Amino acid sequence: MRLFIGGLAILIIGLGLGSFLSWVSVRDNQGFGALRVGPWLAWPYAGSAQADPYTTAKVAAEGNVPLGAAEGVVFIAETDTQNQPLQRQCRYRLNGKLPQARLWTLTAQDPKGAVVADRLGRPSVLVSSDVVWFEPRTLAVNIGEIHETGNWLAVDGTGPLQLVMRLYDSPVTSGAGISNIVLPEIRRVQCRG
Amino acid sequence: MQGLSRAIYILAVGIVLALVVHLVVVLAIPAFAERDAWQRLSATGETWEFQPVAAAGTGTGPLGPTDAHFGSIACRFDLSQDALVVRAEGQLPFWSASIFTNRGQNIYSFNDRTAVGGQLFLLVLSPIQMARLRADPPAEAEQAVVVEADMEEGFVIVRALQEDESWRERVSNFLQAASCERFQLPNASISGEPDLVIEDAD
Repeated sequence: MRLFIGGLAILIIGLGLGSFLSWVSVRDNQGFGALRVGPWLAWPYAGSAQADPYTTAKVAAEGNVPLGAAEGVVFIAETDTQNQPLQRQCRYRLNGKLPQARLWTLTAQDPKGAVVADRLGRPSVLVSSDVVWFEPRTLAVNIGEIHETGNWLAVDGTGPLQLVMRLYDSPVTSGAGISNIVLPEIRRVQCRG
Repeated sequence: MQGLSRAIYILAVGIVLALVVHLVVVLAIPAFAERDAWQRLSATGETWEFQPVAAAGTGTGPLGPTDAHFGSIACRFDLSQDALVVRAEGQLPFWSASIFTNRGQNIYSFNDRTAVGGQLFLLVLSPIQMARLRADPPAEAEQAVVVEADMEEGFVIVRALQEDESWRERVSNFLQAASCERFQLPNASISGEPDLVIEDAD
């Protein structure tokens, strides 16, 4: 009887803890395959033969089709540069150098990956061809509900926010390497309420 | 005291088992995932046919979040049946194409700058089909991006940038007119057996 209880306890710990560890590590996947640049996270090898098992598992479980090396790379920020969670009710200023790329897009989305809308119901997206450059290669974007001069990513509503920066046709993924890149800072300006 | 050491023993063995379970689960997920990209595409479309993956402006689709500035389509193929030819007409500011195995592994990707004249014309062939192509290359193959892939089932995804609303029609025409078909190799033998003489000639 004692042997049975001991064996059962081992099984419960093993299967329970093992499954829990797998679920958390695959869902968050901020370990081996993740690249962190300030508040930005990327999984540059997702979908490739060099991908680590956690990244491969995450891609399969979520049914995503990652960008190939000649297509581009995706960076996601859930916090600002001060490590505070991004909020839709706050205004932010994104500022800094971007890696070389033929084009890029900046998207505001909720934690489920759905694009958030501005006050008029239009998707909160910005593409490089819309952007005004005040200094060469230095991007400055105001993010929030209030329109300001310069580049503006309109975001309305409340709740958690993610910023997604997608670089397309960039030497970062097609040769020059991704390890030493620089991405813009995200500074909180002010919050409502 | 005996009870305590027994509890520690059970905990230690449990943790070791947990690590083994963890490793097995993580490594097994890609093989057993029932909702990976391949399964989703299989549920919604035929082989050798493009199906929409995301319309520009939505940022979402059957394969999860996508870039809202892009429209994308995907097509499943099977090199054990035939080689693949993908074509699309029209010039756009940016498009890209990417080849994946049925396990979701990216074999090759390219964009309009890599393509001849900015036109999407792609051939995907198995090594045996490649040898047959090389033996007697048709003139049109010179215009194509030719990819040799040692795989059977897979899919190709084409993504096209829609910078703003003024591009909507051209982007949707580009994607709707794109074709994903079996490529007829020159002198294709009816049996489909590899021709050893031709293979040696390479």
